Amino acid sequence: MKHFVKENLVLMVGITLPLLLTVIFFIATQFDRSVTDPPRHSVVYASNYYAHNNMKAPYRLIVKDSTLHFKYTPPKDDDKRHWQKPRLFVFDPVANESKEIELPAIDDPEEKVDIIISELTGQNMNTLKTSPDGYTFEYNYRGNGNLMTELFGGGYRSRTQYVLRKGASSVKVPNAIRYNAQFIAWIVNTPEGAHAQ
Amino acid sequence: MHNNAKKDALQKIVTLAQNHDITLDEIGAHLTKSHLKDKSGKWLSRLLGYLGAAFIFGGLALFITMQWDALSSPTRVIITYGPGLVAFILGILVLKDVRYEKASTPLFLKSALLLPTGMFVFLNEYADGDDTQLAAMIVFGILAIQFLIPFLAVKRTSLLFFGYLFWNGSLGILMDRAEIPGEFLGIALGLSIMMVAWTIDRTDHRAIAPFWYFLGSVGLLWSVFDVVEGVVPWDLLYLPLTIFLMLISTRMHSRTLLLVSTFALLGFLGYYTEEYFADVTGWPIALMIMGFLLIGVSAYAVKLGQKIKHETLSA
Repeated sequence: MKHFVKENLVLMVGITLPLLLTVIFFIATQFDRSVTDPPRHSVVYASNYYAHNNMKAPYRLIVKDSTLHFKYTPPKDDDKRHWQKPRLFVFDPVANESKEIELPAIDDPEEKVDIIISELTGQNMNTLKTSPDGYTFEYNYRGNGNLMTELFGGGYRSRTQYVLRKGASSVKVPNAIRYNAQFIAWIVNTPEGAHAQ
Repeated sequence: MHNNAKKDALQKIVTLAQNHDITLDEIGAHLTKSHLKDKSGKWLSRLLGYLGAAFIFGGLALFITMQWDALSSPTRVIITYGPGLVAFILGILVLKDVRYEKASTPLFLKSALLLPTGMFVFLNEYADGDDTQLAAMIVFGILAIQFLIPFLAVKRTSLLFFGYLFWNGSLGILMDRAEIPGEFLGIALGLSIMMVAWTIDRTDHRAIAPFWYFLGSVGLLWSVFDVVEGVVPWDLLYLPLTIFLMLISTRMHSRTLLLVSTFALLGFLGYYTEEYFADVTGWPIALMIMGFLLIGVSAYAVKLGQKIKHETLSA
Protein backbone atom coordinates (compact mmCIF):
# COMPACT_ATOMS: atom_id res chain seq x y z
CA MET A 1 0.00 0.00 0.00
CA LYS A 2 2.79 2.37 1.02
CA HIS A 3 4.60 1.53 -2.19
CA PHE A 4 1.43 2.12 -4.25
CA VAL A 5 0.89 5.54 -2.64
CA LYS A 6 4.52 6.49 -3.22
CA GLU A 7 4.37 5.38 -6.85
CA ASN A 8 1.09 7.17 -7.58
CA LEU A 9 1.34 10.17 -5.28
CA VAL A 10 0.91 12.76 -8.04
CA LEU A 11 -2.11 10.93 -9.45
CA MET A 12 -3.74 10.63 -6.04
CA VAL A 13 -3.13 14.29 -5.20
CA GLY A 14 -4.49 15.23 -8.64
CA ILE A 15 -7.70 13.30 -8.08
CA THR A 16 -8.25 14.19 -4.42
CA LEU A 17 -7.44 17.93 -4.68
CA PRO A 18 -10.71 18.98 -6.40
CA LEU A 19 -12.71 16.49 -4.32
CA LEU A 20 -11.23 17.89 -1.10
CA LEU A 21 -12.02 21.46 -2.18
CA THR A 22 -15.58 20.38 -2.97
CA VAL A 23 -16.02 18.84 0.50
CA ILE A 24 -14.63 21.99 2.19
CA PHE A 25 -16.95 24.32 0.26
CA PHE A 26 -19.91 21.97 0.74
CA ILE A 27 -19.39 21.92 4.52
CA ALA A 28 -18.98 25.72 4.60
CA THR A 29 -22.22 26.17 2.61
CA GLN A 30 -24.14 23.75 4.82
CA PHE A 31 -22.80 25.52 7.91
CA ASP A 32 -24.09 28.86 6.59
CA ARG A 33 -27.48 27.30 5.98
CA SER A 34 -27.64 25.58 9.36
CA VAL A 35 -27.07 28.82 11.29
CA THR A 36 -29.64 30.76 9.23
CA ASP A 37 -33.38 30.18 9.54
CA PRO A 38 -34.84 29.01 6.20
CA PRO A 39 -37.19 31.40 4.35
CA ARG A 40 -40.85 31.09 5.29
CA HIS A 41 -42.59 33.58 3.02
CA SER A 42 -43.59 32.87 -0.56
CA VAL A 43 -42.34 35.30 -3.17
CA VAL A 44 -44.30 36.55 -6.19
CA TYR A 45 -42.14 37.34 -9.21
CA ALA A 46 -42.67 37.95 -12.91
CA SER A 47 -40.64 37.26 -15.98
CA ASN A 48 -40.79 39.08 -19.28
CA TYR A 49 -41.72 42.11 -17.17
CA TYR A 50 -40.14 45.46 -18.05
CA ALA A 51 -42.42 47.94 -16.31
CA HIS A 52 -39.85 48.65 -13.59
CA ASN A 53 -37.58 50.51 -16.02
CA ASN A 54 -39.95 51.64 -18.74
CA MET A 55 -42.90 53.92 -18.06
CA LYS A 56 -44.35 53.16 -21.50
CA ALA A 57 -44.70 49.44 -20.73
CA PRO A 58 -48.37 48.53 -21.25
CA TYR A 59 -48.47 45.67 -18.72
CA ARG A 60 -48.14 46.37 -15.02
CA LEU A 61 -48.38 44.28 -11.87
CA ILE A 62 -49.22 46.54 -8.97
CA VAL A 63 -49.83 45.77 -5.31
CA LYS A 64 -52.60 48.00 -3.95
CA ASP A 65 -54.02 47.47 -0.46
CA SER A 66 -52.15 44.17 -0.14
CA THR A 67 -53.79 42.89 -3.33
CA LEU A 68 -52.10 42.20 -6.66
CA HIS A 69 -53.61 44.01 -9.67
CA PHE A 70 -52.88 43.25 -13.32
CA LYS A 71 -53.14 46.46 -15.35
CA TYR A 72 -53.07 46.93 -19.08
CA THR A 73 -52.87 50.30 -20.83
CA PRO A 74 -53.00 50.27 -24.66
CA PRO A 75 -49.61 51.42 -26.00
CA LYS A 76 -49.75 54.71 -27.85
CA ASP A 77 -47.04 54.15 -30.39
CA ASP A 78 -47.47 51.50 -33.04
CA ASP A 79 -43.90 50.36 -32.51
CA LYS A 80 -44.73 49.49 -28.93
CA ARG A 81 -47.22 46.82 -29.95
CA HIS A 82 -44.56 44.13 -29.75
CA TRP A 83 -44.86 44.10 -25.95
CA GLN A 84 -45.58 40.63 -24.63
CA LYS A 85 -47.68 39.79 -21.62
CA PRO A 86 -45.50 39.01 -18.58
CA ARG A 87 -45.58 35.63 -16.84
CA LEU A 88 -46.35 35.51 -13.13
CA PHE A 89 -44.92 32.97 -10.68
CA VAL A 90 -45.19 32.21 -6.97
CA PHE A 91 -42.35 30.40 -5.22
CA ASP A 92 -43.11 28.72 -1.90
CA PRO A 93 -39.74 28.06 -0.18
CA VAL A 94 -41.29 25.83 2.48
CA ALA A 95 -42.63 23.37 -0.12
CA ASN A 96 -39.77 24.28 -2.52
CA GLU A 97 -42.32 24.68 -5.31
CA SER A 98 -42.64 27.30 -7.98
CA LYS A 99 -45.95 27.57 -9.81
CA GLU A 100 -47.11 29.81 -12.61
CA ILE A 101 -50.29 31.87 -12.37
CA GLU A 102 -51.92 32.57 -15.70
CA LEU A 103 -52.62 36.24 -16.21
CA PRO A 104 -55.98 37.23 -17.75
CA ALA A 105 -56.12 37.43 -21.53
CA ILE A 106 -56.39 40.86 -23.18
CA ASP A 107 -59.43 40.52 -25.45
CA ASP A 108 -59.44 44.06 -26.78
CA PRO A 109 -55.94 45.57 -27.12
CA GLU A 110 -57.45 49.07 -27.33
CA GLU A 111 -59.17 48.85 -23.96
CA LYS A 112 -57.71 49.52 -20.52
CA VAL A 113 -57.78 46.61 -18.06
CA ASP A 114 -57.41 46.51 -14.27
CA ILE A 115 -58.02 43.06 -12.83
CA ILE A 116 -57.31 41.59 -9.39
CA ILE A 117 -55.40 38.32 -9.64
CA SER A 118 -57.99 35.97 -8.20
CA GLU A 119 -55.52 33.19 -7.32
CA LEU A 120 -53.83 35.56 -4.88
CA THR A 121 -56.96 37.15 -3.44
CA GLY A 122 -56.97 37.14 0.35
CA GLN A 123 -53.20 36.91 0.54
CA ASN A 124 -51.39 39.61 2.44
CA MET A 125 -48.82 41.19 0.10
CA ASN A 126 -45.70 43.13 1.01
CA THR A 127 -43.62 44.95 -1.61
CA LEU A 128 -40.61 45.70 0.59
CA LYS A 129 -37.31 44.54 -0.90
CA THR A 130 -36.56 42.40 2.17
CA SER A 131 -39.03 39.85 3.49
CA PRO A 132 -40.06 39.97 7.17
CA ASP A 133 -37.66 37.08 7.86
CA GLY A 134 -34.75 38.93 6.20
CA TYR A 135 -34.56 37.36 2.71
CA THR A 136 -34.26 39.19 -0.61
CA PHE A 137 -35.08 37.96 -4.13
CA GLU A 138 -31.82 38.26 -6.07
CA TYR A 139 -30.13 37.42 -9.31
CA ASN A 140 -27.27 35.17 -8.31
CA TYR A 141 -24.26 35.83 -10.48
CA ARG A 142 -21.19 33.89 -9.40
CA GLY A 143 -18.32 35.63 -11.13
CA ASN A 144 -16.83 35.39 -14.57
CA GLY A 145 -16.53 32.08 -16.28
CA ASN A 146 -13.24 30.66 -17.47
CA LEU A 147 -12.18 27.73 -19.60
CA MET A 148 -12.75 25.20 -16.81
CA THR A 149 -16.17 26.48 -15.77
CA GLU A 150 -17.36 26.68 -19.37
CA LEU A 151 -16.06 23.23 -20.34
CA PHE A 152 -16.64 21.28 -17.15
CA GLY A 153 -18.60 23.44 -14.71
CA GLY A 154 -21.94 23.41 -16.50
CA GLY A 155 -21.35 26.66 -18.37
CA TYR A 156 -22.67 30.17 -17.95
CA ARG A 157 -26.33 29.18 -17.51
CA SER A 158 -25.62 27.18 -14.35
CA ARG A 159 -23.95 30.15 -12.66
CA THR A 160 -26.87 32.49 -13.24
CA GLN A 161 -30.06 31.87 -11.37
CA TYR A 162 -32.48 33.54 -9.01
CA VAL A 163 -32.22 32.91 -5.29
CA LEU A 164 -33.69 34.00 -1.97
CA ARG A 165 -30.67 35.30 -0.06
CA LYS A 166 -30.01 36.16 3.55
CA GLY A 167 -26.36 36.88 4.30
CA ALA A 168 -24.24 34.01 3.01
CA SER A 169 -27.21 31.63 2.91
CA SER A 170 -29.26 31.27 -0.27
CA VAL A 171 -32.13 29.15 -1.57
CA LYS A 172 -32.45 28.55 -5.29
CA VAL A 173 -35.74 29.45 -6.95
CA PRO A 174 -36.59 26.40 -9.10
CA ASN A 175 -37.96 26.77 -12.63
CA ALA A 176 -37.30 30.52 -12.58
CA ILE A 177 -36.64 32.07 -15.96
CA ARG A 178 -32.89 32.67 -15.96
CA TYR A 179 -33.08 36.25 -17.16
CA ASN A 180 -35.27 39.28 -16.53
CA ALA A 181 -37.27 37.86 -13.59
CA GLN A 182 -38.53 40.72 -11.42
CA PHE A 183 -39.55 40.75 -7.80
CA ILE A 184 -43.20 41.77 -7.29
CA ALA A 185 -44.08 41.05 -3.65
CA TRP A 186 -43.80 38.80 -0.63
CA ILE A 187 -46.82 36.89 0.62
CA VAL A 188 -46.78 37.59 4.34
CA ASN A 189 -49.67 35.78 5.95
CA THR A 190 -47.95 35.07 9.27
CA PRO A 191 -48.47 37.42 12.25
CA GLU A 192 -44.82 38.48 11.90
CA GLY A 193 -45.35 39.44 8.26
CA ALA A 194 -48.60 41.26 8.97
CA HIS A 195 -46.83 43.17 11.71
CA ALA A 196 -44.06 44.17 9.31
CA GLN A 197 -46.61 45.70 6.98
CA MET B 1 5.78 -11.07 -23.53
CA HIS B 2 4.81 -8.79 -26.39
CA ASN B 3 5.29 -5.70 -24.23
CA ASN B 4 8.74 -6.80 -23.06
CA ALA B 5 9.89 -7.38 -26.63
CA LYS B 6 8.61 -3.93 -27.57
CA LYS B 7 10.45 -2.33 -24.64
CA ASP B 8 13.69 -4.10 -25.61
CA ALA B 9 13.32 -2.91 -29.19
CA LEU B 10 12.71 0.67 -28.03
CA GLN B 11 15.81 0.52 -25.80
CA LYS B 12 17.87 -0.63 -28.78
CA ILE B 13 16.53 2.23 -30.91
CA VAL B 14 17.42 4.75 -28.19
CA THR B 15 20.95 3.32 -27.83
CA LEU B 16 21.48 3.46 -31.60
CA ALA B 17 20.14 7.02 -31.76
CA GLN B 18 22.50 8.13 -28.98
CA ASN B 19 25.53 6.38 -30.54
CA HIS B 20 24.94 7.95 -33.95
CA ASP B 21 23.73 11.33 -32.66
CA ILE B 22 20.36 10.97 -34.38
CA THR B 23 17.61 13.31 -33.15
CA LEU B 24 13.99 12.44 -32.45
CA ASP B 25 12.85 14.63 -35.35
CA GLU B 26 15.13 12.79 -37.78
CA ILE B 27 13.72 9.42 -36.69
CA GLY B 28 10.18 10.79 -36.94
CA ALA B 29 10.81 12.24 -40.40
CA HIS B 30 12.31 8.97 -41.62
CA LEU B 31 9.44 6.91 -40.21
CA THR B 32 6.87 9.25 -41.73
CA LYS B 33 8.65 9.08 -45.08
CA SER B 34 8.70 5.28 -45.17
CA HIS B 35 5.16 5.15 -43.81
CA LEU B 36 3.96 7.45 -46.58
CA LYS B 37 5.82 5.34 -49.16
CA ASP B 38 4.06 2.22 -47.89
CA LYS B 39 0.65 3.79 -47.60
CA SER B 40 0.66 6.17 -50.56
CA GLY B 41 -1.59 3.87 -52.57
CA LYS B 42 -4.03 3.39 -49.73
CA TRP B 43 -4.74 6.99 -48.78
CA LEU B 44 -7.55 7.44 -51.29
CA SER B 45 -9.40 4.32 -50.20
CA ARG B 46 -8.93 5.33 -46.56
CA LEU B 47 -10.16 8.88 -47.23
CA LEU B 48 -13.19 7.55 -49.08
CA GLY B 49 -13.82 5.11 -46.26
CA TYR B 50 -13.81 7.92 -43.67
CA LEU B 51 -15.99 10.10 -45.92
CA GLY B 52 -18.43 7.24 -46.44
CA ALA B 53 -18.69 6.61 -42.70
CA ALA B 54 -19.23 10.35 -42.08
CA PHE B 55 -21.99 10.44 -44.73
CA ILE B 56 -23.75 7.39 -43.26
CA PHE B 57 -23.56 8.85 -39.74
CA GLY B 58 -24.64 12.31 -40.92
CA GLY B 59 -27.49 10.91 -43.04
CA LEU B 60 -28.76 8.83 -40.14
CA ALA B 61 -28.61 11.83 -37.80
CA LEU B 62 -30.44 13.99 -40.38
CA PHE B 63 -33.10 11.32 -40.89
CA ILE B 64 -33.65 11.05 -37.10
CA THR B 65 -33.94 14.85 -36.85
CA MET B 66 -36.52 14.95 -39.65
CA GLN B 67 -38.60 12.20 -38.05
CA TRP B 68 -38.10 13.40 -34.45
CA ASP B 69 -41.57 14.87 -33.91
CA ALA B 70 -43.23 11.70 -35.16
CA LEU B 71 -41.29 9.45 -32.79
CA SER B 72 -42.61 8.29 -29.42
CA SER B 73 -40.57 8.74 -26.24
CA PRO B 74 -39.25 5.14 -26.05
CA THR B 75 -38.32 5.28 -29.75
CA ARG B 76 -36.42 8.51 -29.26
CA VAL B 77 -34.42 6.97 -26.42
CA ILE B 78 -33.76 3.71 -28.30
CA ILE B 79 -32.72 5.45 -31.52
CA THR B 80 -30.12 7.60 -29.72
CA TYR B 81 -28.94 5.46 -26.80
CA GLY B 82 -29.20 2.13 -28.67
CA PRO B 83 -26.56 2.76 -31.36
CA GLY B 84 -24.28 4.27 -28.72
CA LEU B 85 -24.51 1.18 -26.55
CA VAL B 86 -24.04 -1.13 -29.54
CA ALA B 87 -20.96 0.86 -30.65
CA PHE B 88 -19.53 0.65 -27.12
CA ILE B 89 -20.04 -3.15 -26.91
CA LEU B 90 -18.64 -3.60 -30.42
CA GLY B 91 -15.63 -1.45 -29.45
CA ILE B 92 -14.88 -3.89 -26.61
CA LEU B 93 -15.57 -6.99 -28.74
CA VAL B 94 -13.29 -6.00 -31.65
CA LEU B 95 -10.37 -5.84 -29.21
CA LYS B 96 -10.44 -9.63 -29.10
CA ASP B 97 -9.46 -9.83 -32.79
CA VAL B 98 -6.18 -8.16 -33.85
CA ARG B 99 -7.52 -7.63 -37.38
CA TYR B 100 -10.28 -5.30 -36.17
CA GLU B 101 -8.48 -3.78 -33.18
CA LYS B 102 -8.10 -0.40 -34.87
CA ALA B 103 -11.87 -0.10 -35.27
CA SER B 104 -12.27 0.22 -31.52
CA THR B 105 -11.28 3.92 -31.36
CA PRO B 106 -13.90 5.18 -33.87
CA LEU B 107 -16.46 2.91 -32.20
CA PHE B 108 -15.66 4.38 -28.77
CA LEU B 109 -15.79 7.88 -30.29
CA LYS B 110 -19.24 7.15 -31.70
CA SER B 111 -20.46 5.73 -28.38
CA ALA B 112 -18.97 8.73 -26.50
CA LEU B 113 -21.17 10.98 -28.66
CA LEU B 114 -24.34 8.89 -28.71
CA LEU B 115 -24.47 7.55 -25.15
CA PRO B 116 -24.72 10.99 -23.46
CA THR B 117 -27.16 12.11 -26.18
CA GLY B 118 -29.35 9.08 -25.48
CA MET B 119 -29.20 9.61 -21.73
CA PHE B 120 -30.12 13.29 -22.05
CA VAL B 121 -33.00 12.33 -24.35
CA PHE B 122 -34.15 9.80 -21.72
CA LEU B 123 -34.07 12.43 -18.96
CA ASN B 124 -35.79 14.97 -21.19
CA GLU B 125 -38.59 12.51 -21.99
CA TYR B 126 -39.14 10.97 -18.57
CA ALA B 127 -37.71 13.19 -15.82
CA ASP B 128 -39.34 16.26 -14.26
CA GLY B 129 -37.63 19.52 -13.34
CA ASP B 130 -35.37 21.99 -15.04
CA ASP B 131 -32.08 21.16 -13.33
CA THR B 132 -30.05 20.45 -16.45
CA GLN B 133 -26.83 20.79 -14.49
CA LEU B 134 -27.78 17.93 -12.16
CA ALA B 135 -28.77 15.84 -15.19
CA ALA B 136 -25.39 16.50 -16.82
CA MET B 137 -23.54 15.61 -13.61
CA ILE B 138 -25.34 12.26 -13.34
CA VAL B 139 -24.97 11.44 -17.05
CA PHE B 140 -21.24 12.27 -17.15
CA GLY B 141 -20.65 10.47 -13.84
CA ILE B 142 -22.26 7.25 -15.14
CA LEU B 143 -20.32 7.52 -18.41
CA ALA B 144 -17.03 8.10 -16.56
CA ILE B 145 -17.58 4.82 -14.70
CA GLN B 146 -18.73 3.07 -17.88
CA PHE B 147 -15.54 4.05 -19.76
CA LEU B 148 -12.97 3.87 -16.95
CA ILE B 149 -13.86 0.41 -15.58
CA PRO B 150 -13.40 -1.34 -18.96
CA PHE B 151 -10.19 0.69 -19.35
CA LEU B 152 -8.76 -1.04 -16.29
CA ALA B 153 -9.38 -4.37 -18.02
CA VAL B 154 -8.49 -3.69 -21.68
CA LYS B 155 -6.10 -0.69 -21.29
CA ARG B 156 -7.23 1.19 -24.41
CA THR B 157 -6.09 4.81 -24.58
CA SER B 158 -9.38 5.95 -26.18
CA LEU B 159 -11.34 4.56 -23.20
CA LEU B 160 -9.06 6.44 -20.80
CA PHE B 161 -9.44 9.64 -22.82
CA PHE B 162 -13.24 9.61 -22.90
CA GLY B 163 -13.53 8.26 -19.35
CA TYR B 164 -11.35 11.07 -18.00
CA LEU B 165 -13.24 13.62 -20.10
CA PHE B 166 -16.56 12.49 -18.58
CA TRP B 167 -14.98 12.36 -15.12
CA ASN B 168 -13.97 16.01 -15.41
CA GLY B 169 -17.41 16.91 -16.76
CA SER B 170 -19.07 15.38 -13.72
CA LEU B 171 -16.49 16.62 -11.19
CA GLY B 172 -16.57 20.19 -12.53
CA ILE B 173 -20.34 20.34 -12.10
CA LEU B 174 -20.08 18.83 -8.60
CA MET B 175 -17.59 21.56 -7.70
CA ASP B 176 -19.86 24.21 -9.17
CA ARG B 177 -22.83 22.88 -7.19
CA ALA B 178 -20.73 23.03 -4.02
CA GLU B 179 -20.63 26.78 -4.81
CA ILE B 180 -16.87 26.95 -5.39
CA PRO B 181 -16.14 30.29 -7.09
CA GLY B 182 -15.28 29.91 -10.79
CA GLU B 183 -11.67 31.05 -10.33
CA PHE B 184 -10.91 28.51 -7.60
CA LEU B 185 -12.74 25.82 -9.54
CA GLY B 186 -10.52 26.56 -12.53
CA ILE B 187 -7.31 26.54 -10.46
CA ALA B 188 -8.12 23.27 -8.66
CA LEU B 189 -9.37 21.49 -11.78
CA GLY B 190 -6.48 22.82 -13.89
CA LEU B 191 -3.92 21.61 -11.35
CA SER B 192 -5.69 18.28 -11.04
CA ILE B 193 -5.74 17.74 -14.81
CA MET B 194 -2.04 18.63 -15.08
CA MET B 195 -1.15 16.14 -12.34
CA VAL B 196 -3.18 13.37 -13.97
CA ALA B 197 -1.62 14.26 -17.35
CA TRP B 198 1.82 13.97 -15.75
CA THR B 199 0.90 10.44 -14.60
CA ILE B 200 -0.56 9.52 -18.01
CA ASP B 201 2.63 10.81 -19.63
CA ARG B 202 4.57 8.10 -17.80
CA THR B 203 2.44 5.27 -19.16
CA ASP B 204 1.82 3.67 -22.56
CA HIS B 205 -1.10 6.08 -22.99
CA ARG B 206 1.15 9.15 -23.27
CA ALA B 207 -0.35 10.04 -26.66
CA ILE B 208 -3.23 11.84 -24.90
CA ALA B 209 -1.03 13.59 -22.30
CA PRO B 210 -0.30 16.74 -24.40
CA PHE B 211 -4.05 17.39 -24.78
CA TRP B 212 -4.56 17.26 -21.02
CA TYR B 213 -1.40 19.29 -20.35
CA PHE B 214 -2.78 21.93 -22.69
CA LEU B 215 -6.24 21.97 -21.14
CA GLY B 216 -4.97 21.87 -17.55
CA SER B 217 -2.36 24.57 -17.97
CA VAL B 218 -4.65 26.91 -19.95
CA GLY B 219 -7.37 26.41 -17.30
CA LEU B 220 -4.95 27.04 -14.45
CA LEU B 221 -3.28 30.12 -15.94
CA TRP B 222 -6.58 31.63 -17.08
CA SER B 223 -8.11 31.20 -13.61
CA VAL B 224 -5.06 32.54 -11.77
CA PHE B 225 -5.06 35.59 -14.04
CA ASP B 226 -8.76 36.12 -13.24
CA VAL B 227 -7.86 36.20 -9.54
CA VAL B 228 -4.86 38.56 -9.75
CA GLU B 229 -5.90 40.83 -12.63
CA GLY B 230 -5.79 44.46 -11.50
CA VAL B 231 -4.95 43.53 -7.89
CA VAL B 232 -1.79 45.48 -7.01
CA PRO B 233 0.79 44.14 -6.13
CA TRP B 234 -0.46 40.53 -6.27
CA ASP B 235 -0.83 40.58 -10.07
CA LEU B 236 2.98 40.55 -10.25
CA LEU B 237 2.89 37.01 -8.80
CA TYR B 238 1.64 35.83 -12.19
CA LEU B 239 5.13 36.38 -13.56
CA PRO B 240 6.92 33.87 -11.27
CA LEU B 241 4.06 31.41 -11.81
CA THR B 242 4.49 31.39 -15.60
CA ILE B 243 8.29 31.16 -15.24
CA PHE B 244 7.84 28.30 -12.77
CA LEU B 245 5.58 26.50 -15.28
CA MET B 246 8.16 27.06 -18.02
CA LEU B 247 10.81 25.47 -15.84
CA ILE B 248 8.54 22.66 -14.72
CA SER B 249 7.77 21.89 -18.38
CA THR B 250 11.38 20.73 -18.71
CA ARG B 251 10.92 18.43 -15.71
CA MET B 252 7.70 17.10 -17.24
CA HIS B 253 9.29 16.93 -20.70
CA SER B 254 6.23 18.69 -22.08
CA ARG B 255 6.62 21.12 -24.94
CA THR B 256 2.86 21.71 -24.80
CA LEU B 257 3.20 23.08 -21.28
CA LEU B 258 6.20 25.14 -22.38
CA LEU B 259 4.19 26.63 -25.23
CA VAL B 260 1.21 27.52 -23.01
CA SER B 261 3.34 29.00 -20.22
CA THR B 262 5.42 30.99 -22.72
CA PHE B 263 2.30 32.50 -24.29
CA ALA B 264 0.93 33.21 -20.80
CA LEU B 265 4.17 35.00 -19.90
CA LEU B 266 4.11 37.04 -23.11
CA GLY B 267 0.46 37.91 -22.52
CA PHE B 268 1.21 38.94 -18.95
CA LEU B 269 4.08 41.18 -20.06
CA GLY B 270 1.68 42.84 -22.48
CA TYR B 271 -0.91 43.31 -19.73
CA TYR B 272 1.66 44.67 -17.28
CA THR B 273 3.25 47.21 -19.61
CA GLU B 274 -0.16 48.40 -20.80
CA GLU B 275 -1.53 48.59 -17.25
CA TYR B 276 1.37 50.30 -15.46
CA PHE B 277 3.87 51.70 -17.93
CA ALA B 278 1.79 52.95 -20.84
CA ASP B 279 1.24 56.40 -19.29
CA VAL B 280 4.50 56.69 -17.38
CA THR B 281 7.23 56.93 -19.97
CA GLY B 282 5.10 56.85 -23.03
CA TRP B 283 3.56 53.98 -24.93
CA PRO B 284 6.25 53.77 -27.65
CA ILE B 285 9.00 53.23 -25.09
CA ALA B 286 6.85 50.67 -23.30
CA LEU B 287 6.37 48.87 -26.59
CA MET B 288 10.13 48.82 -27.17
CA ILE B 289 10.71 47.38 -23.68
CA MET B 290 8.01 44.85 -24.41
CA GLY B 291 9.75 43.93 -27.68
CA PHE B 292 13.07 43.27 -25.92
CA LEU B 293 11.27 41.18 -23.30
CA LEU B 294 9.52 39.16 -26.01
CA ILE B 295 12.82 38.45 -27.75
CA GLY B 296 14.39 37.42 -24.44
CA VAL B 297 11.49 35.17 -23.48
CA SER B 298 11.25 33.52 -26.89
CA ALA B 299 15.01 32.81 -26.94
CA TYR B 300 14.74 31.27 -23.48
CA ALA B 301 11.71 29.22 -24.56
CA VAL B 302 13.59 27.89 -27.58
CA LYS B 303 16.49 26.87 -25.29
CA LEU B 304 14.10 25.08 -22.94
CA GLY B 305 12.40 23.39 -25.90
CA GLN B 306 15.75 22.03 -27.10
CA LYS B 307 16.53 20.85 -23.59
CA ILE B 308 13.20 18.98 -23.45
CA LYS B 309 13.91 17.38 -26.83
CA HIS B 310 17.32 16.11 -25.74
CA GLU B 311 16.06 14.91 -22.38
CA THR B 312 13.11 13.09 -23.99
CA LEU B 313 15.46 11.31 -26.35
CA SER B 314 17.92 10.28 -23.66
CA ALA B 315 15.21 9.27 -21.15
